[in-house]
Amino acid sequence: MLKKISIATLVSASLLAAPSAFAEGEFAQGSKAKEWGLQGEELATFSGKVVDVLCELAGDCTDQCGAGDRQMGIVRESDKKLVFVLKNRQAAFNGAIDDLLPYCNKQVDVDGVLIGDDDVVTSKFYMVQFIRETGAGEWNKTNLWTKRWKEKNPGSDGKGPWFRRDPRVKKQIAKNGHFGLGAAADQKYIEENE
Amino acid sequence: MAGSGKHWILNMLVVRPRPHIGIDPTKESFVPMPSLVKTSLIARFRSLSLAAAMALSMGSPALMTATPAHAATGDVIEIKGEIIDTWCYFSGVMGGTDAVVGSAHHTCALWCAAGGIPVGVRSDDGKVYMVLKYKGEGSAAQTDTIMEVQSHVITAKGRHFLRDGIDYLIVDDVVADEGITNLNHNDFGAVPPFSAPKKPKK
Repeated sequence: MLKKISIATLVSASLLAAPSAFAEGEFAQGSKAKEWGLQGEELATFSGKVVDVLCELAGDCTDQCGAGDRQMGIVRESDKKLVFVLKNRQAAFNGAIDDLLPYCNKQVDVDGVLIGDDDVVTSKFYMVQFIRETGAGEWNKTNLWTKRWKEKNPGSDGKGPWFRRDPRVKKQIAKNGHFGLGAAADQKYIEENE
Repeated sequence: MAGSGKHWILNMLVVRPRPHIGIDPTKESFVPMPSLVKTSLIARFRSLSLAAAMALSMGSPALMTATPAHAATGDVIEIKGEIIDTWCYFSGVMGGTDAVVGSAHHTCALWCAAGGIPVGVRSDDGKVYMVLKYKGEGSAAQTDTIMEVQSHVITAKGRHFLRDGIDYLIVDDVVADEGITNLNHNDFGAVPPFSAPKKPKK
């Protein structure tokens, strides 16, 4: 399929990818967040209430916002919109639940980036990089995930990043291979790409 | 790895223009790349899109009932789609949307799901439903349930909520699981390349 891509298409794509001005979002003022260069990225700092999204949407509520089993969001104070949080500030496949959980149902200030410009999903999602309880002075970096992972996986010490040592990941790869298609597909790929 | 490397570059250039891919292929992580360009052409029209979305949503009963906290029961739906890693899909951090699904992205999808990043069900029309609960478990539960279905095409019965432009799904039951049907590793190799299988060390 890729062989059919013409030079003209490549050139057109490159032109479309030409530099453009950074779109400053309506929540960018005062943000100290790090820019990641992501799709549709906007710096965004705002205040709101940390919520268990299942509780917020469906009234299916538990103690402690699901205690880590549930996705979390922030109901923004200024417009009451539910901002769905996908990620914390760490750069290794880490979500934001562990960083939001201590603030369950509390008012917070957050700083991070809104991302996404999907053709179908019209809202943006959030990467939270800093958080503090509203009124507190110091910001906290959202980097609790790997600390919590170590606590949950005491026997998983070793070399390499957590995702190479995670028991749940290793179990799936051992069972179904890296492409999810079995060991034979992995072996074929290795032979073709050596 | 030569083949996958070529596909990786082509993917970034061609599949969908991504002027600001935030990954360093030499490192096993997402890497902020602020020196690169920030905003795509589509994003320039964000305010227009949001205005249109708001106008459309004014007539949406689902949105109106979901706006107050604890107000909605959700619309019962049956939906067929692929379980995807929503961070890589929406952020563009790994490349175009055609490459961050299916077999090519399976290992990375496992990493992200294990990391507690929300999974979604992407239906054939491109709509992504953010999964909040899967067969009785919170979608971030530290079990194998959500791990078992990464990259699979499923048909699910559940409850749908629309709030502020995002579709959410509680999966009550899975009536069909077709496994991984998008064998796009044949086109893209492993995405990211460091998720590729390696020859066992002797």
